[in-house]
Amino acid sequence: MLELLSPLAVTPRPLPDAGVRLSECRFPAMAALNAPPGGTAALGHALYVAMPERPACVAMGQARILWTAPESWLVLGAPDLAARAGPTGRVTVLDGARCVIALEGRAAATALSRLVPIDLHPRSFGPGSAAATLAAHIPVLLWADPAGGFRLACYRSFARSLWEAVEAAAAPHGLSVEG
Amino acid sequence: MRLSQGGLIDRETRLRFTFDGAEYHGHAGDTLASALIANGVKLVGRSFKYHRPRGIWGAGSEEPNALVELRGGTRREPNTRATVAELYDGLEARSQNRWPSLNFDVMAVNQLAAPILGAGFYYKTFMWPASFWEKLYEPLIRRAAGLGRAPEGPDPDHYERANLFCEVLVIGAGPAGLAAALAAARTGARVVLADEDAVLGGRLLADRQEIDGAPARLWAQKVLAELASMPEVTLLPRTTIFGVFDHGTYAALERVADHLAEPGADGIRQRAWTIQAKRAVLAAGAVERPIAFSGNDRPGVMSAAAIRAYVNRYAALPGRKPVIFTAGDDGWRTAADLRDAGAEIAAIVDVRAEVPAAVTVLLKDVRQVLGGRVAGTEGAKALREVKILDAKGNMLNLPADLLAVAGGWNPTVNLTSHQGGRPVWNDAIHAFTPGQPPPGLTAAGAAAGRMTLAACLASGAEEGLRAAREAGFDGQALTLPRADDEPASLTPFFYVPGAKKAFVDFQHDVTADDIALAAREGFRSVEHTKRYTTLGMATDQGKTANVVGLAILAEATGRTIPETGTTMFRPPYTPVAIGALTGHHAGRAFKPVRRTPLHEWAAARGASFVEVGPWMRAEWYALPSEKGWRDSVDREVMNVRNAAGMCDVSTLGKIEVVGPDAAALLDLAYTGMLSTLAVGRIRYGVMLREDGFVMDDGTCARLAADRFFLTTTTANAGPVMQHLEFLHQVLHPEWDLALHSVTDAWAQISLAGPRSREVLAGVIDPGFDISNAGFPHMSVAEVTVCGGAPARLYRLSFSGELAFEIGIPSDLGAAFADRLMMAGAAHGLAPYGTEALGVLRIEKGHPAGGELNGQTTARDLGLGGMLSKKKDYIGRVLAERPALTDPARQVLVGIRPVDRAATLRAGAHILPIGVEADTANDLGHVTAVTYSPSLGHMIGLALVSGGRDRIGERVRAHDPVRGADVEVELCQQVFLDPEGERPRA
Repeated sequence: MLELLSPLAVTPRPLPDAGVRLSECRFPAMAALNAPPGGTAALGHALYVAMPERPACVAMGQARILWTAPESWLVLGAPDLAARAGPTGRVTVLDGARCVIALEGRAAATALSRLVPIDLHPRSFGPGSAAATLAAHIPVLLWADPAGGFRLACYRSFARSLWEAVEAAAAPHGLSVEG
Repeated sequence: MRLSQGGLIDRETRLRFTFDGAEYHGHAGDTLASALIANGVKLVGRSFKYHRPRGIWGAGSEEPNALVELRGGTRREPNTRATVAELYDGLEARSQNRWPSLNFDVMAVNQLAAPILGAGFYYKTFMWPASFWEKLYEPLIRRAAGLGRAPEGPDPDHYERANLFCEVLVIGAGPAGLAAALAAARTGARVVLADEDAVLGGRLLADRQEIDGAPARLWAQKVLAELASMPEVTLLPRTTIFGVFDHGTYAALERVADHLAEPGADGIRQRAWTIQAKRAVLAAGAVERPIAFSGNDRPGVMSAAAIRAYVNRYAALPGRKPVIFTAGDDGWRTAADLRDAGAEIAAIVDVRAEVPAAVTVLLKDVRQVLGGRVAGTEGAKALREVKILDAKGNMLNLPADLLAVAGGWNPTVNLTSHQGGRPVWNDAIHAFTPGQPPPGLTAAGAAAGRMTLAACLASGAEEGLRAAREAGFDGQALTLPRADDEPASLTPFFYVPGAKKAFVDFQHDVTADDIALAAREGFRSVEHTKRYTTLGMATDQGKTANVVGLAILAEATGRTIPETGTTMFRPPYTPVAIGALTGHHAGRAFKPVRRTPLHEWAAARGASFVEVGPWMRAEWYALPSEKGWRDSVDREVMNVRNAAGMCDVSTLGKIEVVGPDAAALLDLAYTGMLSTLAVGRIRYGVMLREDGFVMDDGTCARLAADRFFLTTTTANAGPVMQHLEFLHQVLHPEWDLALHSVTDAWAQISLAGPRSREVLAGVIDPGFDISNAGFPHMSVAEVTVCGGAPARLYRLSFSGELAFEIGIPSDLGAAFADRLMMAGAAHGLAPYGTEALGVLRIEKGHPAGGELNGQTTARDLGLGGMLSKKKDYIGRVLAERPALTDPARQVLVGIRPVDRAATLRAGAHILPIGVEADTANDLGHVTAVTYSPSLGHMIGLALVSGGRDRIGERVRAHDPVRGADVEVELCQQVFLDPEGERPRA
């Protein structure tokens, strides 16, 4: 088999007590998922998940489902998605098409505020919130992960540029790059 | 002179600084201006036009005069107001706009030429002859007029952009701002309190006033301590809100490290904030205005309120023997503070004949000239004498080293104008107050025309709570602290006519006479006067000048000030460095870059890269033995023609169209019929714009009945996606389909050349038939490679050779490319870059960037056969317009030089032989050229009028820019294998 190469392949630079911990999130599969018109509920039944119908991120076990457009989602980390959705959903394979960066730590929101024009206050952007926006002129999906921390996803080809911008935003707060 | 006690400076911390090379000392808490005053320095600069000696006028960001150059080297920073530059140890400052020195400035001769340098002198003096402007007049003017020098190297510091969200933004942290912030913050709302000063408190730091029976600054400290303890409050000292934009967006500049010699460990010098506020309270206070009189710009003539700031906050006494010239009660406070600080008041001149006894009693031992005027000043580089005209018309010449001018207060309404709100004249305070502020913003305190301390506190508390309530929070009204309404009566007074220059706009050297002249010459509109005289157009936007100028214009034109109207203000409130707006995006981070999954793979094999839009693409792979790029490219091309090459084509736009109505959408979008395409087959397609011109070309592969895979050119990937989304969402929302960009999902490799099938056989898993019969030209299949890796195989050719494209998931791209190279080693496989790709396509006459230029039709490009007559499609009707079907249109043909050794150049014009090289004879232009290693000479493509009927004709490729004129022969656009047999082999 062929060896997998992640978009960033970062070298860890751990720093104790860093304000921001950065890492590349790897997902074993990525896909765009569509429901036929009016088919959102049926798709949700098939997946045992309440499909979000506005910008949001929900967890499906270790996988994440992000609303991207009406009856359209980005699903990260569900290799068996096509089988599970069956005829209720249409799956377009996007393995490796996105680079996902995790920002965690006490200054994660502050570092992100240097990049995205999104109100990240817990009152308006609690866990599960998501937004499509620009970071450093790069189109991104941003979400507050249901399991904590923030995630930024961009097209794989922008990965290095986005990573450099995130590093620059995080560096003043103490940056730990984690594997 | 530094007072022996008082002030908010830290006398323990002694800071060294230089001004024009001379060394001085100040203290922490000083500004450069206060330190210069404490050291007795009066002359700090030369004026813009007349090079007149100037001193310090004010104590804040409105300063028109004391512009200096700070720091050195690449940190050199011109035109900084000394009044807002915080002192730090080692600060280097220099005066500007003088040569050879501040004391002896050659250009001061401009003053002698002053009669011809009046309003509109550019327009009058430099009109003729026109050709002299660029060569003579402009360089002369630029040398004579001007301010500081920009640094010569790149800025070494970092700048940061940041976003901030709040319910209530409070602009200004004086008494009104502090009260507003406290009232809003106690509701639980998120509050941002921003002030341009390093210390929050505003005039409370500068005036000797009491709140709750104690010095007012103690109240400010108490409020700030409470605000700082609240988690939802953000205090932003050293931060200027410089612009108001739509929907509650405020732009702010935080001077993070301007008060340090160099930024701290994070390297950040300034931070540009974008603040999104549901409501904002403008508590920006007011600015004292000058009075125009002869010689009112002499060093030593200062704002009376600023003098109070120097005395009370900085313990710096600007003069020992002051005269006070006032139009209201406020000047008397300055006189009292100066006297209490030890100055010997020469006189207080009040333009009012009657002054309330409660005010005059403050200075009963001082010479009071009521109903008087200051008629002029004397002194060379510093004030020496003040000429006073008393109420009876007697002239008094009093020796003085300081003249405090209190012309009244102008509320700082600037931000309320940023969305078009025109300030309105308020007869109660004789100044402009906010007219219609931007939605969501209200003014409070002095900015709203509430000119006393008690009124400021009350108005701030009220507006702060109101703002929080409007943003969805609620709380108790603030219990107002005890404070007084100080005497604040005023008479409107702007101008003392006299013989010498009376300055209105100090920074642009606009005088009262200039404004009168403009009025006489018919520039009666305030907007015309502004532009003709440049009143208020300097870097300070006329913060001190405008109202005085308007008043003089009103008088000169026999109107009231409200009838005359006012000009407006625009962002930025104070100058902002471009670097701060740039933020992170400097140098290599100027714009984001897209890299393919094979980027590092190619770099490791010696590829050099070229920018194609946002993408980095490998342009060629040089071998150590090769002397120049042509060697590499010629080798790569011949390797494809004779053996096999592989090229990273991942940047091509890739779109999947999924759903039962996908075919219907593609029939609408492409000129050809796609719904009849069989599953497993590929068709070349052209899309037109609505106007009938070609939008893009590419291939369309049918993966399943309800799933198509399209490719676009690299440049048009985004526009094609938008176009298709438009067709779906706007024209046919009822169609059941979805569009997905899959560009980044696939590392796409083109494998081309007569031996490509043998190479492919080495990586494809057993069981997939890639023979010509089993997998003919224009086929697509899902396959596995290298022992089970999923891949998509396309039989497509751009090079004109037998060729395949392999799509492999991006994460596997590099490993697959390695395996492919191993499999191809025995067959001569070598990577090739975009330059060889370009040569291959020109040899095959395929249109690309130079031909798909938005001005060509399908017929122009030789693609007329692809225009279906059986169905409708976007652009069909307009493609039949007479202009688009004109037989004389420029159409695509090939060219080759008659002298095969000659060089062709893209962009050259095609002209008949033996005619004048002019546009009337122009037949078209050359769109692409290359040296063809297959043919051994240069070839090109050209758009030539009626070109297909001219095949075989000889014409000229005329290149006036680079001075070449080459005879060429028009030929078919396909140079190699015109029957197209090779890709079908």
